[in-house]
Amino acid sequence: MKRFSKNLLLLPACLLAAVMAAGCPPAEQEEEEEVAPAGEVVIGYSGPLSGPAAEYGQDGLNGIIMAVEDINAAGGIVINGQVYNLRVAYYDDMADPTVTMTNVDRLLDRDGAIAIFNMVYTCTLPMLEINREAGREFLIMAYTSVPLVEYQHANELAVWLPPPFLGYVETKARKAMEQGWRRCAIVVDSGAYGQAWSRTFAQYWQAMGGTITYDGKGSYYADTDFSTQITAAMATNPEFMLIGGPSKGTMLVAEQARELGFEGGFVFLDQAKIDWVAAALGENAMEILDNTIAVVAVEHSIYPTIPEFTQRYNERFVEQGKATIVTWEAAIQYTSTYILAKAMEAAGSVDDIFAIRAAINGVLPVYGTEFPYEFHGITDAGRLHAVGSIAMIQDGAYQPPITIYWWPQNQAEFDELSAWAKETYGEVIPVWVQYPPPR
Amino acid sequence: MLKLEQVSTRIGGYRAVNSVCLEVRQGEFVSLIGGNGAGKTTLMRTIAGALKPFQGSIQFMGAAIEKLPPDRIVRAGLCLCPEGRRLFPQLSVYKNLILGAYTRRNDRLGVQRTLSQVYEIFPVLKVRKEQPAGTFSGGEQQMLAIARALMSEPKLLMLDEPSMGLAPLMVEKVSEIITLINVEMGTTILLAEQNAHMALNITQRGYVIENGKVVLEGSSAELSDNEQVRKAYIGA
Amino acid sequence: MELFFQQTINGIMLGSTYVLVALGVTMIYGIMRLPSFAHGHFYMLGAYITFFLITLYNFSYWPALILSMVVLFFIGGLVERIVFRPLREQSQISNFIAAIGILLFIEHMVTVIWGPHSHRIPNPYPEHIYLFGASVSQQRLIVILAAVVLIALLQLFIKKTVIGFTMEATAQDREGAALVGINVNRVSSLTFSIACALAAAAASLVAPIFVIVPGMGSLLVMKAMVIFILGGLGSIPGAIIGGYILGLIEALGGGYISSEYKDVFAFGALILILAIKPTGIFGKGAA
Repeated sequence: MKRFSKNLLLLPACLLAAVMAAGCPPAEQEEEEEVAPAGEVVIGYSGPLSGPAAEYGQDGLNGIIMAVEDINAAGGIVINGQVYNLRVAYYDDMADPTVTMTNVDRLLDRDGAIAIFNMVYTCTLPMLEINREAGREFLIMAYTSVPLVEYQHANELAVWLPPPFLGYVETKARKAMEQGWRRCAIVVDSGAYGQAWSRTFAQYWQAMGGTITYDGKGSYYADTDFSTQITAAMATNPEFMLIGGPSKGTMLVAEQARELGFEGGFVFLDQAKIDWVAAALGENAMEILDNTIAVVAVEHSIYPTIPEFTQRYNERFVEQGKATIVTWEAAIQYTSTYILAKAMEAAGSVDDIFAIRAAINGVLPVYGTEFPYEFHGITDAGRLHAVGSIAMIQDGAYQPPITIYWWPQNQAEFDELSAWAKETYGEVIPVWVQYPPPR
Repeated sequence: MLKLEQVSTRIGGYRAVNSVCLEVRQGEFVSLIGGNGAGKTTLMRTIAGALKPFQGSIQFMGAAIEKLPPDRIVRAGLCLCPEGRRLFPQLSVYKNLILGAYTRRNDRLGVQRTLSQVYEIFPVLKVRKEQPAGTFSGGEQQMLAIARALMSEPKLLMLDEPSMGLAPLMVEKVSEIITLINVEMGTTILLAEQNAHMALNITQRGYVIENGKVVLEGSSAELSDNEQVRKAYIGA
Repeated sequence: MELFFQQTINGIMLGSTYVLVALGVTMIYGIMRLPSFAHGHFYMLGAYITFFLITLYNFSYWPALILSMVVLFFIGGLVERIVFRPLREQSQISNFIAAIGILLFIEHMVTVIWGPHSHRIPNPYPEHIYLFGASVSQQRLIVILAAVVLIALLQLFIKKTVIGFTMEATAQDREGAALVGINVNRVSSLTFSIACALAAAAASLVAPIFVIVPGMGSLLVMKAMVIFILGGLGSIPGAIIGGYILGLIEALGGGYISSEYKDVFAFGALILILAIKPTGIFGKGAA
């Protein structure tokens, strides 16, 4: 056994040497070194930083890190004359709920985190069970667009960040109908999110008079070849395919469908990033993605802050190899972190979790004129009024985005919002989707 | 040529070979007599480098070989034709023979020469050279094993129980061939055998091994006349 | 009929990568009696090296592929030498642990160096052509053909060269091979090297049509293990036929019956074949 361990130690050195010799840049070690001048407030994060969902998790973490750096650079948060700097404590959970729970313990007991960001629904669920234990309360910043969970798992110390996907489902289905498409083939990710999404889409689609010609799935994380499903889907003569899951798999499905001769349109699940897919597809992207309906690319957003945000994000993360492109995950987490900091100031406390949560209502709205994302308010159940937005690629170009407002309770509220948006951003195509959906 | 001093080898925790001293001189034909489990095979494998002795020295042509791996020992000119033959059953006779000459692979002409020599001694191998070795009968497999060992052009050939499992007629044939190799080709031979009658008939000298130890040595004629040997191994 | 032909081509293309990886697993097992669970990760490393040569050093596709095979050839030999050879006399469990260690090490090393996100090799042959009504991209055809060429070269090497004979001999009787003067350690190294080079070739061939991520080999190695068992442990023809069969089962089963159960068919086939013939298609009974 002694030889064994010696040799096992040798292996990394040799392999590393081999790879280094091959000319790679040495890995950047990222350390958050903060000299706390006064107080320190810890914001926790547990998410997938390795494994198949690593890129998604890293994008979200990047948003928090950038916000914390910006807030600290601007002088931290000030409460009763006392200055506090923020610090991010983060751990990898590989999207495994049991690991998440271990991380939560660490974040609470070792780091003293007051709020924990999490981006995977199945990992958020167990956190919801324990975040109100007396003396160990913490705020959950939940990144999930699964609809209605904020009602099913009502939690007064949880904030739900992204818009519910129902808004996307309905708007994308309407847009597809407008194209004259009726026959839809489904080839989506076999994971829980992809399945929930496609089932909902199928309901809406059929209710609108469309048909589902094929319903297949693939493992967008693990698999790389989807030609089997696509071939079967194409045999049913669909006018468009509902595809999506993680961007990587979505890109492969779109590309392989075109290789197999598919000429119809695509509707992407909101998980798939059109700009990422386009970048990965390279020069043929616009040809392959012609007639694709997807969540709008960050760079095509109507928010005027985006170019500056993108540039700084690229310098801070993309050029360091920590991200491929700027994403909505990063923009949403960035803006949410700001809201959290503002809420602490408004509450006049860095540790009264209930007061901080209550103060969030008061710091909203935050708009895209100042932040890379906008939240108009918060529902009683704790979901931020987050704006959704979709766009379509047609004739080799991105069409103007459609902005989705899902929280207005009546036409008058929506009209008011639309008027405000047009006044603020100029060219806006607002749509209203009722949420929760009328049954 | 080959000299063992105080060689001991463990199999598991058991001393299967215990302080063996043994010598084979150039041109000799020496037998190693012993019953089942006496330690013959362990000793042969130790000499060939498949097992490492924990004490003692083995010298071959003046060089210490007890620490060398088997392929280096074959290269030095000592080849073991092992117990159970250990042929490559799914490979053809031809490939088995070519592999026998693996250490001489750069000497193409030499290998061809040895090959025709071997075919001369074992004509059946030439006829059936494309046949997989595993399809042969026991006697034929033994011939092939000896032939394969010869392909390395050994200075010293060790044969471990070549008569095992063979019909009497076959045993006769094998012993004829071994004798031929010693006499005509001038190859030194160390022959391990349970069949003492056969072995002592054809060899010049012999060692008797019991429980891993050499208990008797002498000329084959002396050993054949030895009461103990007759009782234990010849059964007469 | 078109549909059937299209799915068959899909299946053969899938099978091509399976075969190349399964051949490596099979050869390593044959020579070293070692189930090489880390093989999918050597595959992944091969893709990264190709990617890296193309993007950083502006290699064109084929030279990068070949150089990647060479690099993996050396890495494979090195791993055999410094990790598995010292474990030769140890129990099987040490080898398992070592394989898992290598697998985790490679994955994390790659993640640290190149990041967790995916990369892409620009597709050198993006056009697609129509064959009997089925649409096939040129790169996919290249994968299929290159796999055939590599399999043929490997067979020639094993069947027609003395070094190839030594590999077969070592697989059939390791001590017998040592006793005729074959350096069995060198054969082990060489086998590991060739197996890794084949994995690098497979990964580099599909890299332009798929994507490169640190986890890309995980599922593949499970399938390679299935093929390796399906084909009969250590049987090279078994690995070749098993690989194509698995690809076809997945494509036809997934296409005609249900895409949801694509992997179920693959693993179901394993269970079925083992129930009928416990030693696999080309198994030869107890080793």
